[in-house]
Amino acid sequence: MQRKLIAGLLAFVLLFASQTLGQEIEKPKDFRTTDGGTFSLGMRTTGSFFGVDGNPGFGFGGQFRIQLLRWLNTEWFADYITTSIGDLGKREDYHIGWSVMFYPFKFKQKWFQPYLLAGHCFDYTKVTPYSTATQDNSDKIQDRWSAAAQIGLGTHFHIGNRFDIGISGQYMFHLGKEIHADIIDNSGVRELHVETHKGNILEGHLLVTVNFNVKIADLWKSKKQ
Amino acid sequence: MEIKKAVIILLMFPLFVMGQDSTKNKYPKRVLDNGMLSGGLTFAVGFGNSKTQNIYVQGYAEYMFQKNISVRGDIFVFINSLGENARLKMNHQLLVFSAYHIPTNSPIDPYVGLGPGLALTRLTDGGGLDSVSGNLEQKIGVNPFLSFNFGLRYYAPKWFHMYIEGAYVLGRHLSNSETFDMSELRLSFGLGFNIDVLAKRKRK
Repeated sequence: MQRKLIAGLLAFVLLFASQTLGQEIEKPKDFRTTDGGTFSLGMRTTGSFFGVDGNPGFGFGGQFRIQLLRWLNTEWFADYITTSIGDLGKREDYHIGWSVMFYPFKFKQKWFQPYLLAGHCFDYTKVTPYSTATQDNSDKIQDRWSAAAQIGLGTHFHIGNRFDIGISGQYMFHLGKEIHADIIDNSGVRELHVETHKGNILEGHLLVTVNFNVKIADLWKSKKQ
Repeated sequence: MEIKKAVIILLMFPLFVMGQDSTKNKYPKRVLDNGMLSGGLTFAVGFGNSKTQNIYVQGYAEYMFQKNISVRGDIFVFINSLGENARLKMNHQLLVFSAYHIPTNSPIDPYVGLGPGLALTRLTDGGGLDSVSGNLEQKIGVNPFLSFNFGLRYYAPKWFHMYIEGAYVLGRHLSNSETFDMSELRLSFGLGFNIDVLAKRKRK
């Protein structure tokens, strides 16, 4: 099973590598003004702010994009974000989702391309209160699955024909069980209490993402360049 | 003694390589171009905030898919942490970043880059009580970090380059017991290899 998976991944990489190398020499293309069909791949780092725990988080992730039309792009992403809760515990958020990106403006210059975005996301959240030298808190770990919707805006900065860096800000609402992490003062000793409440709630956080992308291939050979 | 010899040979090797190139006087002004695939293996030292030094074996692969822009993947295998306040027992890292190679009309290639990474980290001491074993346990944490990279390369045409580079790594270790700042300034140097994988196609 593992061999098949590795073979499949290698085939995928080789296919796109051959596409890329072929296009680089035979047909240099300006991906910045495409009518659609561009496949790009990139990495990202994400900051999470104003969440329920009040602590900023920090993440690692990646994305690929398939541009459908000149004014419409899609982004498929995965993020892993960790947050320290007052040095008494940690929160881990796994995001996997997609966003549709709209380019409402068409500028004469090609290096700057702002967009609006909206999309969906599925998430897994785990809150771990730290154990101490005298207390094992591993049985107090709480987790949940949730669904989310996000909306925001951002911009690409195109550097050359095939590369862009970007920054975006989006607000993400999660619908799921509430995991509540409170730091309380117990006779001068700070303690983290983690609780899961029954019933679904909406909770949100602001995500600021910095990313870079490489345009790998023109999937359906757009007419306009 | 043998280690010393090996280090001297490693340090001198780039000079031999570049010496041969310069005698032929065939140096192109700019060897960097799209299609350049490069890689290297060396040691890296990270200087942490708490006066510690972390030692790694570093390997990287880089592809330049467009003039002056490359994407690079680095692996850091943690060897040891030194210093009075050294607390890291494990800090293996995987880093992916894009780099901008500042255009120069010479074989010298300064570059800057930025990218995210993931670290597998573990502390030597502290830890939380494991009620099953009754011992203090330091669990492995998977922690994201951000890396700001900069460096300088000197290309011997076609095959080799020597480099010195640095990075500021910004991240925290979070696991089962406490938060630890693993941010550090990391330095490395060495010899790398490069090949233009598009050379044949370019000639056509």
